[in-house]
Amino acid sequence: MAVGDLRGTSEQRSDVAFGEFYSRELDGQVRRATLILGSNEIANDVVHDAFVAVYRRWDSLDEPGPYLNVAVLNGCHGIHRRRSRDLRLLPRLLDRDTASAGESLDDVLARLPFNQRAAVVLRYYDGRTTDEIALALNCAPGSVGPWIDRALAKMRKALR
Amino acid sequence: MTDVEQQLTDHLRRQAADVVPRYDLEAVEQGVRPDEYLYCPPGRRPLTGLLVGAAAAALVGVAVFATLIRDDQATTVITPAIDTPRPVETISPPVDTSVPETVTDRQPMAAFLGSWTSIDTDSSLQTMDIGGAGDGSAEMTVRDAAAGVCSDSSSTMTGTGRLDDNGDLVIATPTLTCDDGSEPLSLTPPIEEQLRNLTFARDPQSDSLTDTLGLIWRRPGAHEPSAEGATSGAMWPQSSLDEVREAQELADAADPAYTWQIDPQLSSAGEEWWGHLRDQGGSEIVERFLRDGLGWEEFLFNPYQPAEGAGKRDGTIGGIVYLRCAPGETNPLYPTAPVGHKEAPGAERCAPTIDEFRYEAVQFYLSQLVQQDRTGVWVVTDWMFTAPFTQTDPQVVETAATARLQDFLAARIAGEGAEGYVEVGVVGGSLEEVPLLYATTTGARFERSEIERVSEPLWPGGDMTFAVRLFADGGETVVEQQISVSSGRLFHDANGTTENGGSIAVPYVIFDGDVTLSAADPWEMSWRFALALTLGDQGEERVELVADSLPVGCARGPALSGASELARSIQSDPDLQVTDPVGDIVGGVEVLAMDITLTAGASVCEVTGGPGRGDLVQGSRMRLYLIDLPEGSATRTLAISVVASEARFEAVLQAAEPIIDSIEFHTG
Repeated sequence: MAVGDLRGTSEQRSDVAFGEFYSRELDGQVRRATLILGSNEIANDVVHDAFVAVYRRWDSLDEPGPYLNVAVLNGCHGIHRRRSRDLRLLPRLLDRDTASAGESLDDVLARLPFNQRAAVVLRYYDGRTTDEIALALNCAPGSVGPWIDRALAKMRKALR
Repeated sequence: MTDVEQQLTDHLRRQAADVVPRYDLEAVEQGVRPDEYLYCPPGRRPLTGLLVGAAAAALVGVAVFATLIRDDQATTVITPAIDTPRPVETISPPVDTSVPETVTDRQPMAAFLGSWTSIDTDSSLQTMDIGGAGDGSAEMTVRDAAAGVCSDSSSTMTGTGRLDDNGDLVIATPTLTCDDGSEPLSLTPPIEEQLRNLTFARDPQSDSLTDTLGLIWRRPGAHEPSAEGATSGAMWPQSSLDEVREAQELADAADPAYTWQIDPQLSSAGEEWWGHLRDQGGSEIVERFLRDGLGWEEFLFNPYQPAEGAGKRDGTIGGIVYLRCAPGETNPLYPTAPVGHKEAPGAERCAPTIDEFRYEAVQFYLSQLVQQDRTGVWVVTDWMFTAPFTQTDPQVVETAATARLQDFLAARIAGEGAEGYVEVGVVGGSLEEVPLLYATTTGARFERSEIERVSEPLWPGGDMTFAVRLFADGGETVVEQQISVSSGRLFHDANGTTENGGSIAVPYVIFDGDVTLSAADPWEMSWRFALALTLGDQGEERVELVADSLPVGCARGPALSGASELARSIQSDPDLQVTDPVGDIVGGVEVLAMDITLTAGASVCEVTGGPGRGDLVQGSRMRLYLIDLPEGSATRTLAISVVASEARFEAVLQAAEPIIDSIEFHTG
């Protein structure tokens, strides 16, 4: 997978041209962001914005890979928060907040809180360890397990 | 890996295989989004001006959409489906703009799909969903909480649309119905005629739609450009990098005209800057910018309006948003300060400036452009006024939540249909429903109920908490539970259930169902530890469960194969003082039990291993139960530990007994 090491990469910025970095990282970043956001188009936008941020700082970044990872995850988080805020603005009540039997995994994934969704994508798509996920999501490692447990519990219920 | 994990892995891989990355290195290097030029090639006229001018002039005053969300309409619940934009076709690779455009290239249907909102001058928020029908057409749904043509009851408008030759979305025959079943009011000309060929023109620059009624629709959360002239600026108080350098030199020389731009708290590591900005009177550079630069007398840091680039990195704090408050006024919707509102202290004193719902908002960055340390001067950069920020009417929230709770309680009394109303907060477990859903602990059915709001609404979304009480046995038994509403969703902290004042043990299903247990308040699952029930916030007193315990002791080693091997490893650790393992029974299974302390001089040590697990520290004691789980369990070995200070150990052990006794193992 062409996604940079979440903990950092030994490869130095000066060793690689931006175009090469872009080509190497684009595919994996967009795929991961799409899984987290549920939208290919928005994921492309988020990743694009993150690349723009990296490009603007290219000369000062020693390790662009981790910077890009954080920028993409922050962008994904921002989209989730914006959705949450929009929901907060609307005095509505959801009828289908919790997983119910017969739903698809997509349905359940779409309703997971950001941290849970990001954690399961990083674990089950990226194959990241708990420590790596905690680092990527800027949380205590102890939080990762419960997030994944809760997400899996919802999926288990949906798949009954 | 369990079946669910395998299915999830396969599912994610399949989904990922369908993803189409949009390769556009040139756009990245230009710092623009591909669609910014993809949809608006040079020389193309903007669509919105023409439509707004012609259509709005012809149809202004038709108040089909311009309706109010009023307090007395609070039971009307808006249910727009705006959670997740629908998947849309990815446009890749970028279009060569030198090629003559087709309609599809210019305004593909994909650009219209998803959720849109429109804020009217009366501050009502209307929602619209446009979904692709798969045959090149689109299905539109507009929801209003209080439509004028429905005598202020809610309405829903639907219709099927297609792109016309201009690339605009035209809904030929929209149908508007009043949700209460009544007929729309008679208008002249008739409503269906006014709505005929309802057209949405998209402005790709702002990603907004303008309809033939003159309303502008934006993506949820998108910025709304201010109508006023100067709405943004590059830098404040200096206007160039040279000026900032000079300011830095003068500040270094203790010139009071510049030292106020130094703010060590903004420069500090960690999250201190956040509280520094949040607390009024905290950051002088911010206060001066808002007062002197913008002329705002009162303002409020807004943590609820995340902006692009939010966060701190590389000497820049990005995405800061402040709201303007009407001087000397109290917030009309949130006149009192809820206890514990740490995120927005002072919101009760911040009245909106546009109307009772909407605030003027400004977004900016703070940057240390010359010297990035505690003595570097800060400047405001890239500031701009953004879309008004809207606070929710808490009365609307309360009425809607109360109605929902009434339905929930009625179903509980009826004995069926109460599932799924309330999300239950359980860390590390999977309690799916509110405890005592249909009956008391003795099985007595509920006879009546009551609801009481027990917290002040929390700005800006009106989050609040209710106590619900269910009565049984002729009123002799009362089950009370606290249920909170947030973002329209109902939540229950599973530890918050009492029966006649006594805490109810909460069941937990953990380790993929291999283990169940129950625990009552004040024990609660802790976020701080991976899977631990704790007494108090700090977790010094806890019951912790670790599956397939990792390397044992202070030295890391390979995973061990069973309880006996684990016990021997612990006994052999020179940093630990361990009693001889004794046999015991937990959950009907034979276990090994031992007490553990650190030897004098030993450092903090993870006894049962694994990231995030609790530590055994000097002065603490651990009762450790090591269990080989029955065959068929996904978990092989389980370590259960009870940890407390030496002084409190026996008391905590006694308090933990009901938890240990409740443990059951389930196989297959």
